[in-house]
Amino acid sequence: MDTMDTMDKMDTHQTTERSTKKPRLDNNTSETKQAILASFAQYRNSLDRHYDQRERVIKCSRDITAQSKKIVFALLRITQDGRERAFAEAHAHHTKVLAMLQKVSVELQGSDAFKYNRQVSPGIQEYIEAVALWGFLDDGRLITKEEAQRGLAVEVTDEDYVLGICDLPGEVNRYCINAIGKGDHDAVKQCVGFLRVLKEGVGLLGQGRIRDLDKKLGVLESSLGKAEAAYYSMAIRHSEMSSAAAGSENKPSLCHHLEA
Amino acid sequence: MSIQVFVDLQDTLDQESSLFDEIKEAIKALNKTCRVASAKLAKAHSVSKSHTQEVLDAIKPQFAEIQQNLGTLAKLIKPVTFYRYHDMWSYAVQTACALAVFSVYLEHTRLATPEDIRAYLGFDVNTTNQDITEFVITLEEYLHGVISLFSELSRLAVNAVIVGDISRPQEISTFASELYSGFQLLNLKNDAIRRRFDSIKYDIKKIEEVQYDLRVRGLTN
Repeated sequence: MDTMDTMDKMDTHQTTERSTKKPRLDNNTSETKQAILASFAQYRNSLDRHYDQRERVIKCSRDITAQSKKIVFALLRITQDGRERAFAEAHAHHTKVLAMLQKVSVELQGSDAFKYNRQVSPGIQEYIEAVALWGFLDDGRLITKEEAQRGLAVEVTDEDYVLGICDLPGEVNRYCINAIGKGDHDAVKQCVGFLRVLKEGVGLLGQGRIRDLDKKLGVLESSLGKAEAAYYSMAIRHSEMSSAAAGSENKPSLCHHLEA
Repeated sequence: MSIQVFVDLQDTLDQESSLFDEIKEAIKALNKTCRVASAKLAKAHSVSKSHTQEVLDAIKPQFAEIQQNLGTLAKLIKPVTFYRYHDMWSYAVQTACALAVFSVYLEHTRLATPEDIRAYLGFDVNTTNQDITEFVITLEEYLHGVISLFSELSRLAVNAVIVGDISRPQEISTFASELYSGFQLLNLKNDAIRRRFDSIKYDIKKIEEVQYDLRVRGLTN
């Protein structure tokens, strides 16, 4: 930094010399180094406020993501715990997420909503995914954007909604596999049907308009593939065992298990 | 369950598309004007200081046009959705800021203030980063414009010598180091401004080299 120091010393000399040469600039505040420092100190404060706010939004978004994942896991335990218990637990987590969203909404007033959308979006997407899974398990329907928005202090954009919905297949798939483990034929059928409609629907949306949508569409397709493969092997086992059962009365318990 | 949800969604996305196209059109016009202005302003590098004013006068119509271009863009943008589309035009506005900053330096040998930017481009710089209530130039865009000045200054130091002005590099050096000390006050995060800030030292080095060359030959005291 030696050179800079020497330059600084020369600066002072030079500045005074120049000021005398050009007196018309004397009353100009930005002329001197002091003035530059004063305005940059102000810019620093503005930028710091912005960076701090962005940091807080990112932290909130992470908390919302973690809490939303808890909803998802609680819901996926539906196959073991039953609807009542799973939904009750999901509800408890849901209340906490709503409080977190309420907290982050303070940072997202006015034009700040879109300013920090990129930071808050991952959390909102995760939340959409959780309530959408809930909706699917509850009545087999896809939650609408308006339903997802209900009771939320933060605005859900179309992008947040679509990207949240696109994360759904992974979870529906888990539920589907669990259902196969339980031999719940109807649930598997419902899952495959749901994923098919989802794929068709998301396929309708214009490509390139929503960031990361193409990537997620790939994941959606592979999830559907897995669910269909699982459904297929279940169906083939089912017919195999039905015919085996018809041939002999030796394995009634297995057939009974599948048909239940 | 049906795919109606997605059909409706696509409708809203389509409605937004036309706005997208209009914004793109406005930015295209702005970029075009900036390119012309940039080409005209570059002449300042090849003339002596005494002829700089002619270059600046020649570029005046372009600044008037930039104001119009920005006005067209501003009409399309609602304050609340400002940041939704902001990325689309930010680079163009940075370029416009850089043109204004360089012009102000050439004319007054000082840093363009946000007030200067307003005079040249017709819009306020949001120096306090406050909630947007009308179309503004963001603080970051202004700072990008200022950082661009360093590369112009290093070129100008070299070109001043070419046109035989051996005192100008000293003046440029003084100004550049004053300005650099301003940037050193900022707590920059790892973003675009930070990356460009890191490149300033090469421009300063270049200016110092010019001074060294002059001094080692006994051309300055």
